[in-house]
Amino acid sequence: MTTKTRTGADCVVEGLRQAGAEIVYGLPGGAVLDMFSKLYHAEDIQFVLARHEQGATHMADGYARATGKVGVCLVTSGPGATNAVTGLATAYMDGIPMVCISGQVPSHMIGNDAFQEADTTGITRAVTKHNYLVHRTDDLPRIIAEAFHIAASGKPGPVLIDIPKDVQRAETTATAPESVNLAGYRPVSGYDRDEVKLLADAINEAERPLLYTGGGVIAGGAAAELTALARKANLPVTTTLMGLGGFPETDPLSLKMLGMHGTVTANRAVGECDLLIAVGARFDDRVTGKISEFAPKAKKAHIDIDPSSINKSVSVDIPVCGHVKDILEELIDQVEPRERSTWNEHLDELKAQNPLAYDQSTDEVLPQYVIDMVYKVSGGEALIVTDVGQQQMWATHFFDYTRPRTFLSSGGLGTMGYGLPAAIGAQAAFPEKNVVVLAGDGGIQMCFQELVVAVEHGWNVNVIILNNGHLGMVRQWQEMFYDKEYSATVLKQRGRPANEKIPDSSRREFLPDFVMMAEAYGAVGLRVTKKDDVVPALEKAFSTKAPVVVECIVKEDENVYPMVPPGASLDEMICSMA
Amino acid sequence: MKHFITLLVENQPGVLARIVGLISGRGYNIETLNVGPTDDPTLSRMTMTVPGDDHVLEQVTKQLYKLVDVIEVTDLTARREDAQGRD
Ligand SMILES: Cc1ncc(C[n+]2csc(CCOP(=O)(O)OP(=O)(O)O)c2C)c(N)n1
Repeated sequence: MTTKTRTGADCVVEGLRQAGAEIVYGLPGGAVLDMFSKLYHAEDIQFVLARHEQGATHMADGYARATGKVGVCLVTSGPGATNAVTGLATAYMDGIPMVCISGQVPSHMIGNDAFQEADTTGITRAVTKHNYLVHRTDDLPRIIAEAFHIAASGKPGPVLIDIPKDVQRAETTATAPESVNLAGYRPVSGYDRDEVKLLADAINEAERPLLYTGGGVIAGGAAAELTALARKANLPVTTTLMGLGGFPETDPLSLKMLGMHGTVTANRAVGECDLLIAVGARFDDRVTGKISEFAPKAKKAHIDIDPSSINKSVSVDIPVCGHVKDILEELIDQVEPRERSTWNEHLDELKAQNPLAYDQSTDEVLPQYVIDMVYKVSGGEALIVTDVGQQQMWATHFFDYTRPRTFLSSGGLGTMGYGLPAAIGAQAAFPEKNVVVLAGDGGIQMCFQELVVAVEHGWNVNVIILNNGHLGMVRQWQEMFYDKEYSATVLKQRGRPANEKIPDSSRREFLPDFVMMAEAYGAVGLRVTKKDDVVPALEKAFSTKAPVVVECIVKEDENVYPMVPPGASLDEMICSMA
Repeated sequence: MKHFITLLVENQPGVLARIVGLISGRGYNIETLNVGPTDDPTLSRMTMTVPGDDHVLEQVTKQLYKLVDVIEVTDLTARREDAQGRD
């Protein structure tokens, strides 16, 4: 067989095709024009033009989280690549499969401070699972195949391929290998049966076991197994932010989320359990609080695909390394059905005593009320994408997630600006789904420009802005821990501290006008200032066949409770300011 | 306590930076570092000393293993102490 001669840019398109990429998000520039001229003819690969590379990376990320497939983005050299860094870091922290292709200046100019040159592999080394600077066109087919393999296997993550312009233009006859074979990359396969046996015995003996589950359950496609295991042995389940949707929160065994803004019941259960089984979770500090006091009475087990995650911050008694799904399957066979009624009834009592609640009687528009109504009006069927801050935490409180990949949120990096572009990326994959963004008035401004992408494609995202006139979550920390000195957190025109004085703050209360912004982008804009208008506005938004922005002016000083103060142990929860 | 770690890595530009970046980026220190060729021209051998307790060593080793360019990680500490003991 003679292999056709084609350019590096051709190889990129070919590699994308072979990897099954349907959509590429990105933005062009001088260093990637060769690839764009090939994409122009690739009618089977949809290209979505973002308006900022951060937006493109979050779109690829949202696509990946919603579908489980590898998200792809394409950016130019220099500023294109540096703009992509936040999106790569976001995906890296949450283990999201992504391939980012960046252009680079021609090989002979690398190191010369050429126009739009940046050391992209150097800059992104710490925020990618792996990255490549491609030196020879002959290597390109192999590298693309490797990149997709690395991104999707083991603990998934973003991989960057930096391709100098001359490498895109030069010709090759090389093809991708039949299968990827990397001497230094062997994601865990299989697991140790003895370890699983040890864990099964521990579960069978435990009086007060607790499953603490994370994003690994979703990435590993193990939600059904987790549910079956929990139900068989009556093991209560608490999930991390990343784990939401991995276990149905409508199930009586669900304690909902644990950690800094977790439920009282979940955090108390951690303190009281005699066996803690971490499943695809990584003992993040927002989850554990003061690490030395995390689950003090418990024997600890940890199931994870990533060996480096085991014994990282907490040393465990029973480590089980391997695919979560396989291990859970085996555990289902080995655990004995047990009622555990004392433990579960105790937890039910805690739930009844400590519901997640807000003041229903007030006439003010509470942000919690809006989120609660989003849940009710959408019938719990929406794909929820949050930004970062208070609204993100309330989205964990007032929704019951029942299926994987229905709650997308930047967990590890906590990237403001994530919500809207990620929702667009997800909506591109599922044009018919009701995709709802929950965002604050701060974070929504970080990538608002991407709204036009939804409008032009007819993707009907619903953007709910909870406008509290503040960088709410930071304001909350200042109220609670910094003497109510609201430094740099007031977004309203009035009420700024002396050093941030605005010459004439009487003109308007809020800037910008989100309704006008929505309209400027061609979306529908609605503003809600009264409680009674919340439900009708949401009903209208969800039934409108166009992207809708609903700006809700909400009470400005609501706090997220419960809260474990930073550095405190989980049983030092604050449940109200009173 | 010091750990002597030896690595077999791909002989490629950027690999040293990747390894040093990983260790320093996670807050660990490298006291000595030596890089040399192997019989196989596509591979290099690195030997380094990393101060820290066993927990540090476990993390450094596991993190190094995660790097795609790292083929083998061996902790020489035990062997070295053994040899010194016999001297
Ligand atoms: C890019 C980025 N910058 C800063 C922060 C720190 N931060 C965390 S929450 C928050 C406030 C968010 O305010 P807003 O978007 O209005 O949401 P709210 O908390 O009011 O719901 C800030 C500034 C962050 N998470 N991300």
